[in-house]
Amino acid sequence: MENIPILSIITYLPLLGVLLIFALPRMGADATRWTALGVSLVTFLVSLLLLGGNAFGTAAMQFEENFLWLPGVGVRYHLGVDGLSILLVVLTTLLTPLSIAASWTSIDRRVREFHIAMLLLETGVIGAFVSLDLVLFYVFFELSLIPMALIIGVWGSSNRVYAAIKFFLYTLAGSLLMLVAIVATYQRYFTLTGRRTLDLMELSLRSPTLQELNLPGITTTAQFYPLQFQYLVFAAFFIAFAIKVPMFPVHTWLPDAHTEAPTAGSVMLAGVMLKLGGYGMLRFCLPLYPDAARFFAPAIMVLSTIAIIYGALVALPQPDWKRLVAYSSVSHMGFVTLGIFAFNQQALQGAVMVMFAHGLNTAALFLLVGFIYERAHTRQIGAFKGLSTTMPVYASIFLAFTFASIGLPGMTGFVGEFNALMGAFRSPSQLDKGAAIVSTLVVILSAWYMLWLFQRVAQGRAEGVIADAHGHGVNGHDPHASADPATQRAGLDPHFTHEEPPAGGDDPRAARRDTHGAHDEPHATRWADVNRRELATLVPLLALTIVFGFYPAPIFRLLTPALAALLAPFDGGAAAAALGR
Amino acid sequence: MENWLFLIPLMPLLAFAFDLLLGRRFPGKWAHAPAWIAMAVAFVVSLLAVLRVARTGEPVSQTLWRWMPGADLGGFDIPFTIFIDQLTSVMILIITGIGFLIHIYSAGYMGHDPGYYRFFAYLSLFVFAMLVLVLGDNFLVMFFGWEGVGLCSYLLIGYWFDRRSAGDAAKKAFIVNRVGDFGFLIGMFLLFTTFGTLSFFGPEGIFANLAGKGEGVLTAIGLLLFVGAMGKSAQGPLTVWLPDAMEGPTPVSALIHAATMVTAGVYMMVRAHALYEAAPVALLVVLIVGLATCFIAATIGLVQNDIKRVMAYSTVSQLGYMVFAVGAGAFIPAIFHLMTHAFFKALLFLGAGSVIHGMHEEQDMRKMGGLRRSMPITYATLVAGSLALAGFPLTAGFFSKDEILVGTWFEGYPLAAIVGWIVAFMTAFYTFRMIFLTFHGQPRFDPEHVHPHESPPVMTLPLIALAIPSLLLGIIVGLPAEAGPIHQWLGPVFEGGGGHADAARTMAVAVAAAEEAHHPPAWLTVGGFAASTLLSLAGIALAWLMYGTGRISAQAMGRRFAGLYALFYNKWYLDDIYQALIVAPLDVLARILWKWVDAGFIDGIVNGVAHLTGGVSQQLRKVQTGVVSNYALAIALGTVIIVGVYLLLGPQFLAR
Repeated sequence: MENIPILSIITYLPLLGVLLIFALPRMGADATRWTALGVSLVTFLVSLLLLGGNAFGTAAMQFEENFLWLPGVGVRYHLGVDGLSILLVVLTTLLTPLSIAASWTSIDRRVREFHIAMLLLETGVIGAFVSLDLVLFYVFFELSLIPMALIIGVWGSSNRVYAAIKFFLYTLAGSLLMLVAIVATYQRYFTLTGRRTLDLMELSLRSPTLQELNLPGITTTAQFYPLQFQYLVFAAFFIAFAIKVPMFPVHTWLPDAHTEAPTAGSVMLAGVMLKLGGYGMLRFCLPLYPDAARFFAPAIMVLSTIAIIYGALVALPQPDWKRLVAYSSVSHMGFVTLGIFAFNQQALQGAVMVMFAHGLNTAALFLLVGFIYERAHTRQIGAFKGLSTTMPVYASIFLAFTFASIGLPGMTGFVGEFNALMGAFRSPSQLDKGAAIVSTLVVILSAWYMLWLFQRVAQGRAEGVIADAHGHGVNGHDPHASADPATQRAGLDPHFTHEEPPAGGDDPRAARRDTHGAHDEPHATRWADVNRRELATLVPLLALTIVFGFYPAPIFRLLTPALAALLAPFDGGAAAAALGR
Repeated sequence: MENWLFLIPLMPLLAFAFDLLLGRRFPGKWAHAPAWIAMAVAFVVSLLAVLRVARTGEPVSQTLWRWMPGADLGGFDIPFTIFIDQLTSVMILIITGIGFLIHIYSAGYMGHDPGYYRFFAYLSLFVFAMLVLVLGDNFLVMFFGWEGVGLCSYLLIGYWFDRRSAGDAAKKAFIVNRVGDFGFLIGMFLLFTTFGTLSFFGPEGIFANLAGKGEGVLTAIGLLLFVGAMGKSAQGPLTVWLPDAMEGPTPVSALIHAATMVTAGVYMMVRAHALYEAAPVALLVVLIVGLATCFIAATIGLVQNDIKRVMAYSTVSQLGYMVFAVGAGAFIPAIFHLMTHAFFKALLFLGAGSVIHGMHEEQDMRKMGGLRRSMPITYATLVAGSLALAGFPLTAGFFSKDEILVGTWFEGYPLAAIVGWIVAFMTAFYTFRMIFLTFHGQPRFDPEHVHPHESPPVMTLPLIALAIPSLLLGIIVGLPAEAGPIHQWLGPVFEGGGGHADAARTMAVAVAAAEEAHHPPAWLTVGGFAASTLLSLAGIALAWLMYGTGRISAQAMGRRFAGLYALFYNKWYLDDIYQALIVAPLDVLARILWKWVDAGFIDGIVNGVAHLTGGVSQQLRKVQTGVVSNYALAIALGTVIIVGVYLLLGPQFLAR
């Protein structure tokens, strides 16, 4: 197994699918779908080998492939993974086939191009997660950007072009900053050592270490990369990744991108691409510029706290289902930066766990919105009512992920957010403690916006159910519903209530009829419940979020050595030393 | 090793999974069967565990798995451990025992509901979570159960989800509880940074290492945990969710919102009694909040017309008793009352359910009356429960409430005890107001359309089974007063014996010895009995005069005290205050952030930059003149500028 370039195989397997689709232009739509699904499933299975072959307990990069690519400037083709990369690679290979399966019927034009874009996207993202050379990383990072922008811009909904361009320019602005920082770092390293390299291991002074380089008068990273220099290049790198995360205040591309993107795009965006931001901070910002990271940490903690609370508050009044979930992403991802810049083992574990949990839970929420959009052709929350009656299975799964997103213990979201908060609170800095306390307020807000969403779309009386001759609707059978509703409500001043119908009309659907035309009226209560294909995309996510919510230890164990190594500049190697016990 | 303890929570969890996944198809009308069996097995296994505790006097425990591995989390180690001592024993017997009876009753009450399987699935999940809550041997596992019961409470309050009011109530319950959880979480953060663990017991545990910790931090922890308790036990400012929770089916109200979940806050504080004893300021706050809640809820209970709402406010008020008993340091009386209350309040709710069932879903007492003839068993059992709630002499509620009041007086809070007796009078009044309005007098419903009937045996048998302990439990475990079997049983928990932490033992033994030294004097015990008896009888008598015979006009009273009546009737305007001060402003803030900050300011800049770029390009386009000499000039100028800048700044910058 040592001699098999497994990382390259995983990275380029989707590309093979692209070639296949290219090579067979007469392939029908369904055959294209099956090809893409098959290729991505094989990629997933192969990526599981990483878990099987992973040497637990070591921080060293594994499955390395390392040779000179562009000799003139010293760019290397250097791939390698540690626990952190493995987790995110597997998350990517898991979500790709699910996204393809979810798009089976919703994508019906330019089917070939769509699947080519999806597979290209997968290659780009996986490549970014396994690259250890800065230029190689940059290439993959940019490669993932293009298909994503196309997926939004071509297969998105009404305002797709604006969203795609916004997404593209926002991200491009960040990555250009990063490119400048890469060049500057390269230049500095070359000036001091005379070596031309863009290898992360070398640039981050991990191998050869600062001691091994034995430069006169330079014994600390702050001397190797002067503080002034670090602040600039760190900021450049950080802004690039902060846009990806996305962090307040550079998050405004996200609601547009999510809202306009097709389901698969949203899933990949939330589940995988946002993680590139958190991953980049961990993989590049911390090891390369530890002194700058420490310097900027207080500001980042404050911004993270703002993101957490702000995202949750802005999610509250959103009338668009998908936009609500998008803003909740801003809130959740705030925990990632909060955990990373608290600089301790627990907070870091929490941050990565939040990435994983968000990859499962928010991906599932986007799938669920997508499925309903496919039926109703609208995402307006006000257009839905009583889905628990008409689509019971759908509503149950939606409820489960609602609570996963709220952070109910026994699901991954809790494990992540709790450890991020607990870790931040354990930090010696008073500011970090304060950030943890304020951020904890989100337990109230997240329950508020998610349960209110659930109430509006899934609870309440679904009209037309009584009239339905086959109706197994609750109204026809429930003896309690026969009680006079006026009496029911008499003593119950419904507080925490925001959906008072507009004055003069007590039927929200009356308003809906005006805006959406009468044609979707007949469908209103006849939407089919989730079908087997849709169920097959949701159940794995639900199972994973529960299993690792009860028993997160395997993931922690996978991550520990990698995170301990990343922490070494910040805790004097304490976490890494504890591993050797 | 007691490696079978895991069966206690596992059984209801299995029943949940079974009913949820297969319930719709396979068992159908038999969906209650897995739940019944699971509850019975859980009860028997609990009993075995309690017998083990009784025989050895030592707690039993079993570690299931490592939930949070300390090695990977910088020492934050949370094993998923089950722990049963005398205090847990009381709780698990209540949960599985009363839970079993309520499961039986539910088969009758929910018999015609299309979501029958769903109901039993949720109910079983609730029992699982509640068991985890009381079985956990550290704060995080307790929190697991704590949130789990919150989820089930949400699911079951909103069980009839097609009703708008049910959805509102469920959401409100969960969010208000989350306010409490916020405090609980911060409390746990502080606990861990102070003690380096979240475990209760063992030499490394929290309670063994209280000595030497600052009173300030312990007070902060105590208060933060109390915020959590206020949420779950509906105390102080966080009471507002419980009355609305009556939207749930009545068996849910009986099990969750009377007998078990709402007592979680009391249980948690008694569990952490050592910590609270080391934080007297926190205890004083607990006392005041509990007492105020006890009083305020009782006043609201006086004027409610919905039979379930009377009970709901009564529950809040009775929980107030338990909480202020904790605040006074009377821990054993608090648990004693928790226990008796679980029986008689479950009985009262189930009885009310039987009335509602027999009246075709009518809950307004003004539309009832004279039901005792048509529902004799329900009437008799409800009277038994009411006597216990009203503290009628020799019933269970009489002894436990009396112990709280005597204990509170004795711990140095005579004023609190006096308020407690006033509330006892109000309790007796509103309880029998309910009885007389419902069962006595002339029917106030239309006999043409409503035909009240007695409920089937599947519902009345649990009523009878609960009525017996409601009447007799006090005599069995409560005599002699302040030293009955309940005190002997729970004593070890508070003496630091029974395998509890050694270090805590010395401290707690000193406390216990001090308590031993001044047992409540005889005059206080006898005086307490006399006061409780008199006030209970007086309250019942007044209710009889107003609602039994009508000799005193309720309307006249209402007019005479119009201001107070309005205050009570509107629940002291607590909901309105929250709406005005918290909910509405947050709503406005959220909209401002969205419309102005997000879409206006930030996106304004983003789009502004885009427009600017576009505009500049439009102008720059004109530079493309196509005249070569213009280009040459630009190139020359550019070269000069770049070289100039490099010479001025470049070398220094690169060298730095």
